[in-house]
Amino acid sequence: MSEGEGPRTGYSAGSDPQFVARIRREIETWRTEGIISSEVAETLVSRYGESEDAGRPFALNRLSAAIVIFGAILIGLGIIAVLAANWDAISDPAKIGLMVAASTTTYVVGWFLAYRFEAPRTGIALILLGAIVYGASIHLIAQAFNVEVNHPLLMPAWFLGVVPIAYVTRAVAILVLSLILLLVSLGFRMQVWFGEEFANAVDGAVFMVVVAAYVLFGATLFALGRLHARWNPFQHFARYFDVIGIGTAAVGTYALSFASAWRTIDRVEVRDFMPEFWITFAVTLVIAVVALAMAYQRRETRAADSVRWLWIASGTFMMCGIAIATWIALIADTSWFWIPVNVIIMIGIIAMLTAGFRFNRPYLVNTAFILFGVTVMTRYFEFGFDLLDQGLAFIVTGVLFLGIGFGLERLRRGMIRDMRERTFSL
Amino acid sequence: MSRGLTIIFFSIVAVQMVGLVAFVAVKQYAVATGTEVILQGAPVDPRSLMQGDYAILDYEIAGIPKDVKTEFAVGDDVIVVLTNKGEAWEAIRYLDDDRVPKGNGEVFVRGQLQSNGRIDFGIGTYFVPEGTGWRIERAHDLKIRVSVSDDGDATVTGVIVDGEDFSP
Repeated sequence: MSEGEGPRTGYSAGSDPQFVARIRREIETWRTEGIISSEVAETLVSRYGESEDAGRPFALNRLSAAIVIFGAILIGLGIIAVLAANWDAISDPAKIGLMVAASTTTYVVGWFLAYRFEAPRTGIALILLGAIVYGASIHLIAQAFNVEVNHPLLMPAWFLGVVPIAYVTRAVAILVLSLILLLVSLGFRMQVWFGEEFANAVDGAVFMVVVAAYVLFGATLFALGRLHARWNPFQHFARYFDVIGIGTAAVGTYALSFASAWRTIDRVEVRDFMPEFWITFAVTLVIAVVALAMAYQRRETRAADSVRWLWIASGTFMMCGIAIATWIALIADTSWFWIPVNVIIMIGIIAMLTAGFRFNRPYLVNTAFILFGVTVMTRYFEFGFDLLDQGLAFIVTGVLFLGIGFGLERLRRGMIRDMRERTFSL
Repeated sequence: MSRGLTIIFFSIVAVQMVGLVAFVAVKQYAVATGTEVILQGAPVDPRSLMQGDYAILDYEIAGIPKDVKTEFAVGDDVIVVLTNKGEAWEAIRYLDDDRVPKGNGEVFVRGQLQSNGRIDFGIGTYFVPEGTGWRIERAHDLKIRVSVSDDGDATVTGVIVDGEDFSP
């Protein structure tokens, strides 16, 4: 695929194709000369990206992209619901035939719209719909032959079918579907690794093992995101890997921070883990390290970039460390492990705050404040709420919320104002 | 999109469709060539978000009788040799995986021993049209039609509710 040919759902601000080609060459030159960072280059490229519909207002551009994607998702969910109803007016063979035909047709029509009829957004939305219908077809066939419900191979088969489509089309919507399917597939494979224990996993040691696994997976997605940021045709994928990866690891770490859970769980035996578990996560860890190493090789030579790399590597290894330390703590029957988890969360929040300030990333600062608020309030309710009379507790909590909220708001505004001033003064 | 990527795109689509057709073909072949047996069962009635209402099926043959001397561990493959006893087929022997009675015409089904002491044959699900599962749940007598391949792999092909084939 030559540069600029693929459909994109991002912002197109170029005035004509020649201008876009020229500005992209310029941006690449600035990046290689160290005038701008890769991330700034990525932002500029997406801003002046492919311009087949140049001149359209920005808002309308984004709105049309969002609406067609929503349309595809709604149709896909509708099809899944209709199939789940198992309507017996149509025979199973007819339903399967219809679904295979529908999936093929939406793919083909989507491709023609995207690459031949200059309707890339609608085309990609239809290809996304084809991918959803493909997954629905897998589940329909399983339904028709009464394959065990939630069979551990159905979701992985869906993921493996869809992920190459994301890379061939370079479409963000299909990538996001792929990443969601990957995380869900992991959950379905857990059934195999933990058997019946998995069904009763909530509040148990198996739950902690599973959550730690997701933290590691989140770290790996983040590392892959950093690799994508240095991989020219797929730079626009990087932020989605980052968001989903960090989000997964953050939610997982939060789940590991509850003292009550650590105090009640049983010790885990190493033999409780199936070999596939160890193999999967050894491979996952290797992928994270290799992705980081490859991305590091493609780094820029500027000093600022080296500092950023130190942060990225520290963040990734901290997430991996949480997962590995959790497994060790479960095997060693360490009921106090919630304390280091909470310390790590606080270190992570401070690191996020500092990185946001240092690299002018307001979203990192905002996210750090949200995480801080959630963590503090969670611990407050976990340890303090039972000790107070209920009415008094609500009043105290309300005052606490107001006070902390007011303080955080002032601090946050101040930091973001400083950042903007620094940006304008550059 | 370049010519090469166009070819890759349509190749992926083709592989997906071939995969779906192969999935159907493998399951249909197993059903068409397998031996149909009827097993005694018992249902529960939940719902899957992706696949709708279904009945969880349990089988009399899934419980290893106490008088059968076995050394099966949790997770072991277990071969259950069946014989036709009129209304339903029943288990006559429980064997290790390495003692598969192939070639002597015996019908057997393969399962895996679970931690609750019962054998999972991979045929614990029967999907039903929305809102009709209660008929299976309230059945006094439930039998399950199962197609068993030569290798002992089983596929549910239907259920018999109080003596009649289930047809919603």
